[in-house]
Amino acid sequence: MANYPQRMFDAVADLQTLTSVEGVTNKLGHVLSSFGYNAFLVTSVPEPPLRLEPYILLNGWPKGWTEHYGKYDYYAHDPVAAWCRKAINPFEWREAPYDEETDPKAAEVMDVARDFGMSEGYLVPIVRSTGFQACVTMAGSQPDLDPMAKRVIHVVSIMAHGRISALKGESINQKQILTPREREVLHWVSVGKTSWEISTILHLSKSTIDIMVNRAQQKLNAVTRTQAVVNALRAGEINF
Amino acid sequence: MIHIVTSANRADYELQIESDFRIRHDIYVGERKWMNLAKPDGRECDQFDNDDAIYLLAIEGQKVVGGSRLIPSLKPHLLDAVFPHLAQKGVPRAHNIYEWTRVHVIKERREGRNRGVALGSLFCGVLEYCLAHDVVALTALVEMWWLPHFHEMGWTLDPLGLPELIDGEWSIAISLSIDRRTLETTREMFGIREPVLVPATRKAPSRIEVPA
Repeated sequence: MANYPQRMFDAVADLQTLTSVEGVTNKLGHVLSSFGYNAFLVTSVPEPPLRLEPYILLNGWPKGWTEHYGKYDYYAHDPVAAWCRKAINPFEWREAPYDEETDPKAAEVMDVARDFGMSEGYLVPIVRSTGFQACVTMAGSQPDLDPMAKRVIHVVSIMAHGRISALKGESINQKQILTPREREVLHWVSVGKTSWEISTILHLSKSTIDIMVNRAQQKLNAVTRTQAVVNALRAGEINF
Repeated sequence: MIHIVTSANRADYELQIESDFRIRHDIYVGERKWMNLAKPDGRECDQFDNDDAIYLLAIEGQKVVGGSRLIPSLKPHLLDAVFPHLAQKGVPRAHNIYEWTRVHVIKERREGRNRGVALGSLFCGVLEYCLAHDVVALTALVEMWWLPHFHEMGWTLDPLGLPELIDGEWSIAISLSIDRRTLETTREMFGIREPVLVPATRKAPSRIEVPA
């Protein structure tokens, strides 16, 4: 099992031939488990307060984790997700910083993840040209943390994400057109907040909010705010 | 528009090529801090900037705003001569495979979706050139974060080896397959509807108005 370049070439060659999302899921799961990661997730990473669930592309988490994670609003406190939104290079979960004093819930997220068998994790960020980040994140109890193994996983993760995006038809026509900030603002519009209210929530000026809403309207070919929200929902840009 | 400059028409583009060497220095040494490319004369120009090089220059009006370089893979090139260890699969070499290096756009033209339409125009120019000259694949050494961008544009890419840290960034040798569909999906992504290459018969922009 030590020939790392060959393991990458084989995995990539297999991924290229797969024509179904299920096939890619199985293949990626198989490759990652050969490195000791028996759980994984492929997802876009929106800015909280947006929730993670609607942005998940492939879910290979342990049974019950996604539900628990959603129920207790872990996404807004997950230090790994927060680090991922800023990262270009892959990192081990344990490298994601958080302050136990100011955010005790971050520690809870990591502790409970451990209870679900995810004690060691690794995350590969997918930097997109739209600025809307995605990632392949994975966990296990005793993964292969050899630097060469990490390089194989780095390549395979990006190639798998590319394959899934192509199969899901995301790559050209249905790609996200709003910036994360615009999406966030529109989310608040969608729950009935005024520009002034949004400006206090996000600590920005009211005129900045108005500009962002206008820009989102233009991008979505919408004349009114309500229409922008409807079009955004339809395009999968925002969700409740 | 994208102008093709080879040893055959280089005399017509001397000022633009000079301008591009300075732009490359500003970008690769000034911004990216690839200090081994630093030159006292402020021109970033290496051993592969020779008669085999094929330049694609993005020129808006009189101003060079970006560029890129192709080298036939049968000639000495970067991956083959300097980074062969990054291609554990072997360095692809054939008459219809070229190496693609120094893809760059000046700072002021990087705004907008998908890192800016100037970059999209360069991508389309490279594809148009390859399709016109029966080049079926390009090899390139790129930072890992480029891979999703190629995927988004619908390009088929193949890793040639495992990534390595080069100047602090994970970089990888890849091969990119070229076909008509790639050009279509790339145009679509950047909203480009027309060919971007200047026909070979047209002359360089007037020398007089080119800024030094």
